[in-house]
Amino acid sequence: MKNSLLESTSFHTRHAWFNIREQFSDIPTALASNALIPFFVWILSRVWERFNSHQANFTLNEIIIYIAITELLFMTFVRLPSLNRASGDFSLSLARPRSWLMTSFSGFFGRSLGGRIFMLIILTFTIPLLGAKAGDIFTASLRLFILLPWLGIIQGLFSLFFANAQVLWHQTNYFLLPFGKIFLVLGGVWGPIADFSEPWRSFVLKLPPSDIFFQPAYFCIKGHFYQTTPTEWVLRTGVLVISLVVINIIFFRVAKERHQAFGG
Amino acid sequence: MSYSLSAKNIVKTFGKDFLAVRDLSFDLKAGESVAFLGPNGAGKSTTIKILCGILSPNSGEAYIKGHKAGTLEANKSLGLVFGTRSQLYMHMTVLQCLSLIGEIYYLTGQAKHNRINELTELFEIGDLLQKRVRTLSLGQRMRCEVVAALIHKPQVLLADEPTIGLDIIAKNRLRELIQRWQKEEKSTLLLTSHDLSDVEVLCNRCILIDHGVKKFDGPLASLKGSLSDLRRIQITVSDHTTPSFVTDKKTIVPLHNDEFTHRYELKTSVIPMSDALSELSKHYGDKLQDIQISEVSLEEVLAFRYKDRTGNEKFSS
Repeated sequence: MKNSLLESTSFHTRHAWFNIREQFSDIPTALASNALIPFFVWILSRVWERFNSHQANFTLNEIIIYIAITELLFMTFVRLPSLNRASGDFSLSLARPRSWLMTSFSGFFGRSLGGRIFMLIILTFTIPLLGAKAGDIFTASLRLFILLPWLGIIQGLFSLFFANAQVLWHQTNYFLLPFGKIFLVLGGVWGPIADFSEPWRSFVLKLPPSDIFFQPAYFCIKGHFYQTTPTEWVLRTGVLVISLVVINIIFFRVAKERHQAFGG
Repeated sequence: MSYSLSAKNIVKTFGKDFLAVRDLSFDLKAGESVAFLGPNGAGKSTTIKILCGILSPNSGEAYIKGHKAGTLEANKSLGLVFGTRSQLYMHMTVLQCLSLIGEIYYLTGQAKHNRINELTELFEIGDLLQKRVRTLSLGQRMRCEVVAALIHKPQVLLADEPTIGLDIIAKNRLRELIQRWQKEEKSTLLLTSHDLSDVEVLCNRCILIDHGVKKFDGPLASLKGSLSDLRRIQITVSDHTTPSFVTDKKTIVPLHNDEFTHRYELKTSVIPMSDALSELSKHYGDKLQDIQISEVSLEEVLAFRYKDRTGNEKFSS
């Protein structure tokens, strides 16, 4: 039992590593596809400066880093190509000796971690060109790097949830966009939750999106979480992880059952 | 007797009333190469999916090397090649993909490296190992797909349209390599293909199903049934005014003619080939330039048997 758990952990770690490497397998294309992100961060930071600088929670230097981090986290969150690959592997995995749930999860984790590290490297070197202080960016990048594995687990479980849902009902693909937009707003990617007015701020802060976008970005810039302690954040995200694990196991069982009805 | 692969009274329905597979049973011995044929919608894919554990039958059971289909042990003994679905990762090198797929099947360390080397040599993919999958031609990719399916040394290989889309050279090469592999590892092959030249080259037994029911199970040669003694003779003449051979006995039946080509059909059980050739050469004399004799192709045999579906003709045997 112990040996098989060790073997399984070792395989899924290597599978995640394989997926991380896959993100770096075509550097020119990845560079080209990420080339406009610094420009995008620059535009958003100028818009923020024009309309929201009076909020005073962030300086312009900080808001550039904030936008860069939240965009990095959001643009690598629940991506359709990854979901399609996982749901496409569902049938085949039933004929293979490894669990689809675990293999898909380690794949999602690896791909999101690889993608995020790649974007982080690009942003770390390009954001100083937009006027942010290189020292602050370096510190924020380091803090984000520490959080990335845990955020990768949450991202992986959310992706797994949608891949499961896609196997169950392929129409759920259409919910991805609204789901993304809701997370965009409630996660503070549109604008920092700290700048929201009450009672919305307190309400939105209690929701999962703020824990996976706003709070990590705030921590990377300020060195502490917004109106919460690290323990509380870990506990809250831990509950989210456990809930997602349970939901995914239930969904997988139902999906396997339902899979029988339409010929695999 | 323990079989490599067994299907026992498999029944599979979809929805309330669609019976996809009806009481299907067959066994494959170790080292056998069997073609699993049937028209579209006959229940082939459903059966294959039941055999590899993707679907569960409503009743009946499937076994791979004595293990119930879909169990860990059964999955470890099974290799899968799908011509229409890649197992490889497009952006990674062939070697990286083979290494990962090996690990999916619990193959690690030196054993994995040895096995990759063995198959690299057998399937002649040494020059492809460091290439990214997306840069391979279809023929090269299919060779790598087969290697990926065999990486864990499966005792049973299920190949679904492995040569689909390949040109004739790539097809022949892949068939040769699969034959070579089977000879070396003495594994069992269950092949489904609409390209019957695959079947003729690779298989010596055939299972034919239609509407989920087994219609034929036996040597490929006996699939031809009443058509097995049917021969076609094509004669090339030097003079286009030469008349066709006509006989009242109806032993040599003329088919359609072109200007310089005359075609006939005969049954060797009715008239021996030597007699037929002698009569034809007597008729054509020195205007006869060439003679070609052919059997009925497997395609024609299957087309003949499939006609039963439409109710036009019954099975010949």
